[in-house]
Amino acid sequence: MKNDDINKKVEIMTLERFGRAFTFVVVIGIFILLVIEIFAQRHGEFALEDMFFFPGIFGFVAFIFVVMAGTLLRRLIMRDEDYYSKREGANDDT
Amino acid sequence: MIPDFGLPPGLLMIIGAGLIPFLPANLRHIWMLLAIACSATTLTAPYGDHVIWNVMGMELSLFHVDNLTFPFSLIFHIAAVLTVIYSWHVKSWAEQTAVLSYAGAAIAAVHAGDLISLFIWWEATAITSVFIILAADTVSARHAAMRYLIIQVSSGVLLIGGAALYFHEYGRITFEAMTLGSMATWFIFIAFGIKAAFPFLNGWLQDAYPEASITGTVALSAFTTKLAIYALARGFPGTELLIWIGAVMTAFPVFFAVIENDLRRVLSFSLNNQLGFMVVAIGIGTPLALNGAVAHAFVHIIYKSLLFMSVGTVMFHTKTAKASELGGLYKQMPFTMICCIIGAMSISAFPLFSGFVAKSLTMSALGGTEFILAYFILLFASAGVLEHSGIKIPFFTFFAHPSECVIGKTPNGMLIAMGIAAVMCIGIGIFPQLLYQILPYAKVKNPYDLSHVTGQLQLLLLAGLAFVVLMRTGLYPPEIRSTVLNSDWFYRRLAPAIISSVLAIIMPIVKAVDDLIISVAKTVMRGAKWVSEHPVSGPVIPGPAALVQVIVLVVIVAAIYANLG
Repeated sequence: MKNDDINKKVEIMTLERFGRAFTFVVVIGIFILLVIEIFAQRHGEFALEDMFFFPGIFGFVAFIFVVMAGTLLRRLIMRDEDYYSKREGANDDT
Repeated sequence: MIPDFGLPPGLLMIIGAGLIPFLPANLRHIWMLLAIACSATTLTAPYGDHVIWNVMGMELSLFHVDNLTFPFSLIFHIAAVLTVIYSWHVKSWAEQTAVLSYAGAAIAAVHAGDLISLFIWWEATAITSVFIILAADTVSARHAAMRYLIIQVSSGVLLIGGAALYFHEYGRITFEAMTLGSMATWFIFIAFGIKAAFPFLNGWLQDAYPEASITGTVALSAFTTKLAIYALARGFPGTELLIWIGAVMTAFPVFFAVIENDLRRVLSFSLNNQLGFMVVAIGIGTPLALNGAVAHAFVHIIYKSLLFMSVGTVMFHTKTAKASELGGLYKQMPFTMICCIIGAMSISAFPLFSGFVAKSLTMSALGGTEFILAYFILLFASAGVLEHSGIKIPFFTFFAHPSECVIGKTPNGMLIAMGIAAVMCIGIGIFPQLLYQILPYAKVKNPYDLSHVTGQLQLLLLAGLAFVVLMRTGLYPPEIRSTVLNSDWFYRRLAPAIISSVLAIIMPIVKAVDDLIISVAKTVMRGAKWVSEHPVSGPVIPGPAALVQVIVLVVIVAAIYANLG
């Protein structure tokens, strides 16, 4: 039992390390892109996209919006797991 | 010179499928690959119509080849091979027969040069794919299969109706570019729209695909919807309405995918979103845009299959695809994890992956047009794709939290199929000309310029940072066991509720009228009986029947008299 707990803790620590590594890669990547943005001429398909770091800012805001809107949407369109199956009699899957 | 089979491509696969039940289990997959290889020899056919059948005075072109059929026929053959390899461990002849005939029907449909042939293969894909869903052998799969069949057949009915009207209007049945306007073209357009999962016509996709077996879903993800994309590209290129339909398709499924717990259903929403990009490109209709649509369909079949295969492999071991029950499998299933991440990076359009080289074409084609809003909707949807397919699928499957699952050996076929698909995703990403040289229209330039690459990386990495922020602040919503309502709710709950409400009002009235008629009839009969038993005078009345006849006669005579008066 104790071994299981220790293994689980090690697993959690490993996953946290992955999380930190992911964050590190993302932050370093963004930093490099910032440097490129300062020194190189990037052109978008529309003039608005030529604004400084526009695709990045757009991506950040869009991602937050998608998740937050999705969370709000849960209240409207989320139902119990057996919402359809209890009426349609599909609970007894074989 | 092509081998002269006298049969349309794909039909060889359908004939081959018919023999599968009679073959020993260990030979079936080799037989399936042989059938696909025989069909694939038709890929070398030159442009033109190679098989023409005269039926009831109409010329049916069953083997039409041109610059648009080739890439679709090629990728359908590749998808069929991947599906067969992935399902090598499957022993069910029913599923194998359905998969091979389904792929064959889709390939035959691509080569249909007229609307009647298209209808025949269109319906064939519907019927054969139903058996793939049924092969899952669960109650919910059976229910979903019936709903799926009704909708798919409806699409076929609209198509044949549209074809008949088109023949009436134009005197020909050639499957050619059409302009929306007449009832005929609207029928055909909606028929294609059902299979392409247009908004509010999409419920069947998220309803049925996740109900199929693990291997069945991989097959389903490749053919039906991409056949619809092909049909739209041939029938309605440059139809502006498609730009807005496609834009809605890219954006809306993103929100549903965020909160969906079943990862195969998440991938089905994601499929819908990707179809949106292709539909927008067809709506723009320029050579570059149509190349974008074809390229997107081509790479999408590969990376979507890869994602379905990865989740399917996980499901093979864990018996679930629920995000709330998965996680932490990176250690037990490293190869599957790598393949899944490659699929995720491809669909997210990371540079050096296949999605990037395809999506760049559509975005470039949309750039500089007056459809600025559509462009930014697609840009927004790109961030959404990263959320549900780029991050959610691999994160909740292989990371998220420690796993307690004990994983057995993964069948070699599954590993090989995933490996091939992953190599193709990277190969096309690094060498885009491999893909570009088979595209139907003008030559396409290399997408790897500074603006495209840095712009896309900015979008993706900052979106990734947003994920980190949401996770660390605890704002990212947890996965919850649930059902997410979709457009299938309209016919699964709303329509039955309305019908039962209407029946609840009508039935008592019907019953009351019924009771009234019965009571009147009983009263008349009782009265007749009484009169017959109590004659006032004269001869004995022969019986109630005669009395009723007399009454009826009196009524008729009175009515005639009143009418004459």
